[in-house]
Amino acid sequence: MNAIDRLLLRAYRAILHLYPSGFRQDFADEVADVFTAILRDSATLSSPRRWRLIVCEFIDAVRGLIREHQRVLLSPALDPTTPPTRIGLARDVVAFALTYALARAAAQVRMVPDLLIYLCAGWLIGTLLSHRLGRRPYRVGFILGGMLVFAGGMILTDLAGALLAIGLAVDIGLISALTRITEPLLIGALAGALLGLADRSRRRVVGLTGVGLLGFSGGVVAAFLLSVLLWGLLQAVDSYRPGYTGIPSAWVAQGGQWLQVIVFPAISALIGGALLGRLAKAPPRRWV
Amino acid sequence: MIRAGHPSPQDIEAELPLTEATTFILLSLSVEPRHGYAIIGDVATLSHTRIQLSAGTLYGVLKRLLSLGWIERHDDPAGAREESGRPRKVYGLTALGRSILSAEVKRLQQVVQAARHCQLGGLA
Repeated sequence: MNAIDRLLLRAYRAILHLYPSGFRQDFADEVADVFTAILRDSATLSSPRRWRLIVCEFIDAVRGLIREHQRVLLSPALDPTTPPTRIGLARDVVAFALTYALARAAAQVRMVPDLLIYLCAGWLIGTLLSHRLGRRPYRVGFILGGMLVFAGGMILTDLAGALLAIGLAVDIGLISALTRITEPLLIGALAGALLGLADRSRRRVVGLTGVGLLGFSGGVVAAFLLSVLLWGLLQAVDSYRPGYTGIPSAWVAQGGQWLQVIVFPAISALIGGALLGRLAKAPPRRWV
Repeated sequence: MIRAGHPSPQDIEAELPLTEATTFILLSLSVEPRHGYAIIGDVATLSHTRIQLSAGTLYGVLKRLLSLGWIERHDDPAGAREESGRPRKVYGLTALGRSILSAEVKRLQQVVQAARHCQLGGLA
């Protein structure tokens, strides 16, 4: 094989690299081997005939590229890589909840800009989604979707809170509480919409958006009750220390803050996410 | 879409007619299992060079036929390797693929018979 053929093979392989991952994993090497054989055997042809053959191969490779992506995009149903299991659903829900809680905690600490944290959280969720839904070739799309869900949900609620504080001079504490409550609702609704869109069904967009909203609402109520209970427990434990004067210790105050930052969003996401997966009347694999 | 098992004649009829490329690929594989490049050459021969499959087109069709269960893929029993050193893969027809091909050939025969009948009647 001469230098030009090697270059052609490299260019052909570059096109193959753009095929959907399923096709690439199964056939790319074989297609490249066939192209190598064509290059080898066409060496005996006259130069114009040989180049016409090679150009045709390249054109068909590009047409095949479009066709294969079309096949994946227009496939009627999602094609999960793994069969749905309860353990799988539980794992995904926990991953979702932890990601959300950690993103919220990191934003609270403010070590890096909030937007970066939200985008990272969205990236994690997008990767998880694309993996679970078997849409690895469209990982970028899911990552962008995840980022939109997280950054959109969190920024919109922060913005609404800031507007309330400035415009209506509402108490900061109240705004903080409102933000904590509305944030998961918005993320739930956006996540539901994203999943419905991924399933290519308008009916499911509406259904999953509603379920996401309701699920996260239920999660928020449950998380609120549990946070109050844990907060009460912390205060009760603190009251038994010697020299207690009715003022909570520093660790209790700190614990309360962490409850708000981590436990509250984690539980709301956990319950909301589980309901989203279950109540959508779809196999659990179809959501995360 | 039928995939495996014992398809009824109606199931098979529903898959017809096949595209010309698919028919020639199945015809090529009906003789013996072949690897990709051999299929391209065989299809060109069978079609009197009228159908020149490119590598991209061939593997698009093979992928679809594999997913339908009409053909199967396995390592070359002779242990042949590609130039790249990878074990060569060969494709063979499954029982379902053979049934589909038989039905398509029967359908084409009926078309030819009809054409002949028309020619005899002086209409063609």
